[in-house]
Amino acid sequence: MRFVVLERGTTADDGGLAARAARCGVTVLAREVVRPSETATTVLRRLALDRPSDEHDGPLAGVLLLDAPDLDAVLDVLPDSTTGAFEVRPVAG
Amino acid sequence: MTDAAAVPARAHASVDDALADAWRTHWSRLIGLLIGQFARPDLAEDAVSDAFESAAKHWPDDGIPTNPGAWLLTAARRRVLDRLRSESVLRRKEPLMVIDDEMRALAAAAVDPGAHVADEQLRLVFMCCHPALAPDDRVALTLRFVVGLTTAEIARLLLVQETAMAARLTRAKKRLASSGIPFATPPAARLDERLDVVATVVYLAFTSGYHPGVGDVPLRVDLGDEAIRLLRALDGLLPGRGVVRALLALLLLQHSRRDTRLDPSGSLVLLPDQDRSRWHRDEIAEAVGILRSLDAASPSGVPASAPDPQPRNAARPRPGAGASGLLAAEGSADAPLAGSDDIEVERSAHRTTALTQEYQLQALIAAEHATAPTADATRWDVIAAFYAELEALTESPVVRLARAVAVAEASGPDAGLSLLDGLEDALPRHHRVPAVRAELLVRAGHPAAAAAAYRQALTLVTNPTERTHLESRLAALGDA
Repeated sequence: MRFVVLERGTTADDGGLAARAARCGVTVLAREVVRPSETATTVLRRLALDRPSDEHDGPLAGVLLLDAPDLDAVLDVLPDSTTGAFEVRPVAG
Repeated sequence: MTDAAAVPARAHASVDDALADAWRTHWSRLIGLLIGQFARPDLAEDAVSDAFESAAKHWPDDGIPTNPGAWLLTAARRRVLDRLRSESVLRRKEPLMVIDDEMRALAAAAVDPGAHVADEQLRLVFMCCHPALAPDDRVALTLRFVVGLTTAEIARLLLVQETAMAARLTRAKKRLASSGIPFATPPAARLDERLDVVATVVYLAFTSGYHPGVGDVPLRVDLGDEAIRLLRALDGLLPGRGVVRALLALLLLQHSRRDTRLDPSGSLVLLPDQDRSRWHRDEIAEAVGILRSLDAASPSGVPASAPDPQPRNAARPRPGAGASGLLAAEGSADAPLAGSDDIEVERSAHRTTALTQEYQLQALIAAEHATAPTADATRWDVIAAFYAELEALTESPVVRLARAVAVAEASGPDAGLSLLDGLEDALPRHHRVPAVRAELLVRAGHPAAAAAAYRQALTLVTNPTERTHLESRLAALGDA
């Protein structure tokens, strides 16, 4: 199944993600670092997670598209970041 | 649906027994097998529920089947297939849980839930206790899927409205299917941290039965029995896990006092007033045995040996010990510590052994109380040392309060009073802080200050038994 991951407050380097992904059966379909918030367009969405991320977790810094067997595998590959947060959601469909 | 080889219908009472037995034996297996086969927690729950309802309707007339589990599995499967058919007519595509092919095949092939073909029960427990679920949802899902309580019973236990609990469970089941949580046992590298979560949930389920008011309406099941049963099953399926064994010891010790916790009118009986002859000694002995084996297994863990399972000869009685009723009810003595709102129950992945040590220490303290032949014979110095360890581990003000009580019993009231400094700031709404301070001030010979502290405690206390106790202690001061 596929997952979208939003990175908040993280740095430009991938934190060892690619190396771990290879070990865990996860494909990083894409990773993009986004431009600073001044260039953004805001669309309000209702989040349905028990631990949603918000502005307190840091500014939006990146997007990951992963193909992984399940949520646990995704949780295993994400860096143990103390400065950022990752919001994980399966891709619909 | 009749089984040709069914036993002819007997008296109504034994159909009830058969149903209760089947529920106790098969509920979680049926749920696990159906989730394993169909990947739909919502459908599994409804179908198993319906199957039991159907059994209640048909078994009195048709007789109890020779294999009740198989009968129920067949009935439940039929319900799921019916629901899936009507969903496909509506062209609704619901998300499915992630399940490996082997599990799916084994679950689909199963005919008898009692014949172990797969580890569906273990997967079910880890699913319900997944860290990606809200902590409240984990407890509710475990009580529903693993223990088999109804939504109404769970609502009553967790002190919420039934409609709110139904909504919570519906949301949680949707989340299970749609968030990518797998129906699986965690890999070895994650097992300890995930077991910590499971243990926390089981402890919360156990202590949910201790709320005042819950005792008024009896449940079908004793949560203490169920929690202990679940831990034993976990211990069997995943042998030698410290956190499971330590929690099992702790629950056995707390559960051993179940017949003396309440008086005939339903009021709480404080620990020193409980009739120790009615404590379950076999459970105490089993717990002490577990603590000894834990001690041997991890010498670097908790120091000091577990107590002798045989009650010792009474030590010299202490004067005025009878007045310590309120003090000795502290902490894990009779209201389980981790049930308190003040204890953080979420543990980070980095402290996997800390929870084991915490349960172990709580169990060692409970074992001291359990093996003391009388309240006066309690080894308060040993308990105080354990509380010091526990406080260092958890940095919890509730633990400090309990430690202050133990230290006062062991070394005198002034020693206990000094530990209470600053505790009101950490626990501003806790009546026990001023209550304990008052008691120690009485012992230290400061009645005026003690009276002021009792009055303060009375503005905060909620439990009627403790209120009565405080009022009588305050009145006794006035008479002196």
